[in-house]
Amino acid sequence: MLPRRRVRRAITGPAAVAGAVLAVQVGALLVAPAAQAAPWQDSASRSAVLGVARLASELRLTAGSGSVTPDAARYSLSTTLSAATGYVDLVNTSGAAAVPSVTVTLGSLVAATPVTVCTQPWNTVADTCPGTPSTVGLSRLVGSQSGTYTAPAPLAPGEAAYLRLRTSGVAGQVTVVTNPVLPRPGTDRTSA
Amino acid sequence: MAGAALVGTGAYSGWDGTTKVDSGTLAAGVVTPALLDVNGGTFTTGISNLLPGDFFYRYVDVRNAGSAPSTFTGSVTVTGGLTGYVQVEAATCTVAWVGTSCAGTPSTLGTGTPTALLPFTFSHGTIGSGALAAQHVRYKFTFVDTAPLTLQGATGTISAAVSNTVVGGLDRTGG
Repeated sequence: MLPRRRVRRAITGPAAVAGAVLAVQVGALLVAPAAQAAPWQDSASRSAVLGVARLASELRLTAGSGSVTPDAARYSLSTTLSAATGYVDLVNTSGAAAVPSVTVTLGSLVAATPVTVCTQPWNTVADTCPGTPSTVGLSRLVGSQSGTYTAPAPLAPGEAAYLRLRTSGVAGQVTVVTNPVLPRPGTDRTSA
Repeated sequence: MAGAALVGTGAYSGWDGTTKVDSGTLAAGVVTPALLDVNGGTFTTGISNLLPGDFFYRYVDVRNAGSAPSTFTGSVTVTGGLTGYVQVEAATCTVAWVGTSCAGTPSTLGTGTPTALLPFTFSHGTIGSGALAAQHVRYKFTFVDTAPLTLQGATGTISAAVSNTVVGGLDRTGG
């Protein structure tokens, strides 16, 4: 008689599936990290409003001849035979200090120095400059002369450069046109 | 199930007595960050008529008014027309700032330009609680040189914020 062999049979079917699931769950419990406490969080903030400047300039006829266009960007003085003088302020209308600039065009080759700038308002009665006068140089072009005046330093808002335009009896026309305003260099605004 | 069965089969003693020991006072912690104006300035003071290249400083003390040291995170946002055109530099000093000068040891927390989608964020590190542990922070805001002409007249808002997080779960047996 042959010895009876003991056979270990594998567990199969639903029992095996249930066992596997249980093993997975137990394993998950064993390897799960320790629960962390929920963080407490708070915050504080401060704000400030900022605004960017607008840059602009305009021409204002204060005395004498000529006219300024409604947008204050162009001044013209025309004469035929008689001499004429116009006093025009180039005003920095920006919200910040800036450097205004104009281009002067003279439609004649006769008058050599029709534009003079004064650091103070002109005495239009005596036709004198109470400050320091300077002449705007003009370059000869075909049939005309042209030059640019740029304020030597930034002008505060509302400040002006004071121009005197003069034509001789032979000159045809003087035109002054504003150029884009140059902003002053960046600066520390901590207290302003 | 097995556990429940074990609990259910427990036997109760016939003798029953109680005693109790009161603990000391227990108090929940407090999480309270604060931004305080220092060095003679006020953060909320607005600035108008900025031009490209203009810059300004704001000084704050980041104070942990809570009950435990914690890690602070800073962020700066810019809204409105200036978004993307304001550069921010955050720095600290080991002692209070005097003007723009640091008589102690300065260090940079970070530099960045907040955009519409991404604020500039940086870490303040860990700050202890109380006024003496406050971190002395200087923000430098610069309206960048490359700002286009179309920004003339634009307005916007800058906001600086700090937040701190305290995580518990520590063994507090000793206090």
